[in-house]
Amino acid sequence: MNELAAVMSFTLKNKLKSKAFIVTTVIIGLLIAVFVHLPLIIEAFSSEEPDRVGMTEDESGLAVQLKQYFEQQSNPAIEIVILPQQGTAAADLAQAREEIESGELKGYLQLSDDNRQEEHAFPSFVFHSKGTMEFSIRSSLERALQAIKMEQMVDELGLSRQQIAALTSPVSIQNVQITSEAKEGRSETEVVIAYILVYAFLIILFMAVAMYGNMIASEVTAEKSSRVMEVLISTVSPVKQMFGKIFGTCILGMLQLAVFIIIALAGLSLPYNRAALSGLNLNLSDIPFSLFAYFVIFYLLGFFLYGTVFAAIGSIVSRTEDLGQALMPITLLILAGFYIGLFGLNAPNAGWISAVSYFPFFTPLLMFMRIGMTEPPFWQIGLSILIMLASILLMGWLAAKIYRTGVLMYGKRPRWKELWKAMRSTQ
Amino acid sequence: MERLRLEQVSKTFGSHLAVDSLSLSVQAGEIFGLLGANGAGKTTTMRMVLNILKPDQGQIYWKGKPSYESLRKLTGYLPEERGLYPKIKVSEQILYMAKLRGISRTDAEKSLKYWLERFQVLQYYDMKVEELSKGNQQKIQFIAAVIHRPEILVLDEAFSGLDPVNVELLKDSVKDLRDQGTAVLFSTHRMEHVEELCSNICILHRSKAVLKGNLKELKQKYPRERVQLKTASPVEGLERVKGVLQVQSTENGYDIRIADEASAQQLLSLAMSQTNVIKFEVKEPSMNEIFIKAVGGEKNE
Repeated sequence: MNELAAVMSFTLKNKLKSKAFIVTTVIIGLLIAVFVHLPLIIEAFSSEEPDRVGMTEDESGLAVQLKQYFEQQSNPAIEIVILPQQGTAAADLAQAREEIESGELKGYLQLSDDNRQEEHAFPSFVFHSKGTMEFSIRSSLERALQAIKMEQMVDELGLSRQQIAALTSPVSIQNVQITSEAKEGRSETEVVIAYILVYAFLIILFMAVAMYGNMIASEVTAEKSSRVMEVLISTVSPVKQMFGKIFGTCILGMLQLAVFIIIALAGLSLPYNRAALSGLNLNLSDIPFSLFAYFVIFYLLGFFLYGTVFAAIGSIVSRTEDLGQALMPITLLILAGFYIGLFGLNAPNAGWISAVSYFPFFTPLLMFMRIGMTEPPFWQIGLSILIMLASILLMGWLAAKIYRTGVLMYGKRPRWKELWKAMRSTQ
Repeated sequence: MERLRLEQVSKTFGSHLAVDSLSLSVQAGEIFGLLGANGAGKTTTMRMVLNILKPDQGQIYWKGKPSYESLRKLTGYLPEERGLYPKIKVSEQILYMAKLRGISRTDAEKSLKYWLERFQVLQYYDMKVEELSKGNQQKIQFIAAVIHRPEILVLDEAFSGLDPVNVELLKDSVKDLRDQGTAVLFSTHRMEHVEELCSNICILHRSKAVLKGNLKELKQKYPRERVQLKTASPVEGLERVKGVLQVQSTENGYDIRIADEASAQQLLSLAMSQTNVIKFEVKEPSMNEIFIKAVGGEKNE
């Protein structure tokens, strides 16, 4: 037991001290901190001032109406600047163009002559601006004009206020989830939170398993290629070595994840961020505690299942250069699980997704996704955990056997047949 | 006192017989030479001694017991392929290996300081292994093998890649360990090291022990077939002496191969009759010759 602890602490200590680890932790930590504050940063950089759009005075009075419409808003996106008439449309445009060039105006809204002759027809417009992607200005203008047009038409039709209100009120649909149990289903915001959370956790699970798995494999291969292995196997049994390394990396991973999660949560619970979140009707305390617990359970299960496989693969490769290729199949397996998980977010009740969520290599991602998005009966969760535990034992046993053989085999990567033969002849 | 005994030990990998019923015994305070061409089965034998591999047949006894509970404390290993963590400080990895061997940190620290000082490399204590020269890395590797004062020390090509000064340094250390009672299982391709260090040897050839025993006794069993002769002026007619197989002129005189020892005296009187003899020696076979004879003239690996 002492040796296991020694291998664990050695793995952990050296990784914690390694430059690569410190640098990645700091960089990802900073990225998370920035990401959490993204709304605030965007707000800080975008000006409070409304965009100024020019319009020429006109007998229809639309320019004034539009100006008034925006002025009535509490926080208008656009301010209409009325320009004096110059006689011809071309001169009007030239005048506006100068203002745009000098930066006084963001754009110029020109009435087009196309359908002015028709009675009751609302004029059409041309928007001149330097940018090509002024969608937000355009849609603001469109909304405003639509409202003005509506008012005009309504006036002409002589409808009452109530009638107008009834006409313009939006249609409402509310989502309530039906679950197998008698209790009330989840509300819409709960589902949104679950969706975001499961999405985030899927990414974390996927990244963690892939990243730390690779770490285990490359450490084993590095020990082999630097031939430290020769000395190590004469001091510690390969099985203890392997599990020491997996446990050590697991603790390392949890420490790193804890740092990231603390940064994220600390950022989110800052007063201004909390206000922004509650503005969206999202509240961190709405997240069910059980989801966190399941996250930890499935993280650990996934880590150990993949960790043993990564260690076994690392042990049969003698050169670091060959490792990537050897890890390809298992990497693809994780990727497949991840993409099925993402797909499943939008169809968590699909039969085939429930079915593949019992496949141990997919369970951590898919069963977790199902728990987050739907409410699978408890026996299903229990069954998948049992299957995972059994597979971890099986893979651990097999990986230990491969490891014990693999660490002594040098040269070309052995084929399965050679490995099998060698496995039978060692011990 | 017997530290290590192998009895009819065999090991097969697939269809390849790596070690074929090998028996040997190493005493405390003895350096035992395990010799053989590449691929003869030395490394496999050593791995079985270290309990990394289990023999298919036969039995290994450590200090008289067929199994030993704390073998990692009992044995030390310097593998032929050197291996240390390149990016980790010398002190850290040696202390780690000592910890794996079950040695307390203070003991390990003391022992490490002693060895670093002895090898005159105390300044490397806090350096990373990749910053050291190959020869110095080898000293560190040696320290890793002996840090826990093993009673059975397995040295695979301990002195390869070292300059003569460092070879002497390490050789003296091995001799010291022997004098302190360590049983050393020693493998090398350098026969002069065998002659200098080993009392008993075993030559492996194609998985089998072809020659085994006390080095002095073995040498006596081999006929003395070489005469070295140095004279003041050239000697005529050496080839015609009865029993002479081959005469080779060298810078120092003559190197003569004879069929039996009786011819030697005739060579001496012939030389004395013609000129002054400066040196005359009937040489015992060198370890090199014994090795080549044992392994056979046949072209091997």
